[in-house]
Amino acid sequence: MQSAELAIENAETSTSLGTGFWAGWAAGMATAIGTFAGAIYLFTQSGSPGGPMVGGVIVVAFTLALIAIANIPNMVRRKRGFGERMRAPYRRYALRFLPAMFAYVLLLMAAVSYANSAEPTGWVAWAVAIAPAIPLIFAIRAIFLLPREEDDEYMRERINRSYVWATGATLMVCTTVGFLDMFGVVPHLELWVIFPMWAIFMGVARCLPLGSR
Amino acid sequence: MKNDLRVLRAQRGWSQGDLADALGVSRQSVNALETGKYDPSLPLAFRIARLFGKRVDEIFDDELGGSPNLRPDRAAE
Repeated sequence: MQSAELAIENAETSTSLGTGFWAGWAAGMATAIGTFAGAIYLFTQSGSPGGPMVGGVIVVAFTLALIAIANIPNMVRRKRGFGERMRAPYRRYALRFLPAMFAYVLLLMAAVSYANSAEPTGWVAWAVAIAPAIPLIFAIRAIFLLPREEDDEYMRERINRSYVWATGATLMVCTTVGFLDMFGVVPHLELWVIFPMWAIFMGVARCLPLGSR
Repeated sequence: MKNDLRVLRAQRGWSQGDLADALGVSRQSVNALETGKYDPSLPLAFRIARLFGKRVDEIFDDELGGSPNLRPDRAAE
């Protein structure tokens, strides 16, 4: 290979991330996951400090933080910062996903607060209970529209692979925990945890290298 | 799949970004193609070949050359 080609190769291959970076990233992920697990534990306990509303907000905040932390190596490797202009499919994704998550936090707080104070019954209780799930359905829709709208085939492949990886990991964890729960070994796992769990696995999977087929 | 993308690009003095723009793909795609992490779809492979004025099999090597039954000269047999 000629020297000019080597220069181009060296300048343009992906940024290599050092051991220090990965150690810091792993420590950050471990801290966030530990705190996340703690928040879920507190949220599932009836006598949790601050009540279920605070627990719920903590869980949501840590879910978002975990997704962001998990995506840091990907962003660094691509030399892309938070401020850089996003490509159209990601811009549409952000415009769908972020308002949905914002609405989810607001509706969750409102629903928990109303349920605690008014103790609704019948169809009102149904409506209050289902309210936080509706924006999450839109957030999930945004997640699954992304690969459909991504016009770059390699990026689409990466997204799809991360979804498949996350689905497999979530099924494995939920199946295992389900049996542990059935035999009374672990506390009951709330079903709403499945989506944040899937999102975390997806964020981690997005950072994994895409091997050749 | 092996390919000569990096050499062809360097011969023209293009950056990965230039090639990505010419092909209408992301720079990450060009990097993944050059490093053999990703095999392009047929439409993208033809787009690449057309851009460099070559045939697809002149740029991409499926590494099956060692199998006599798959060699083009045996195809008619």
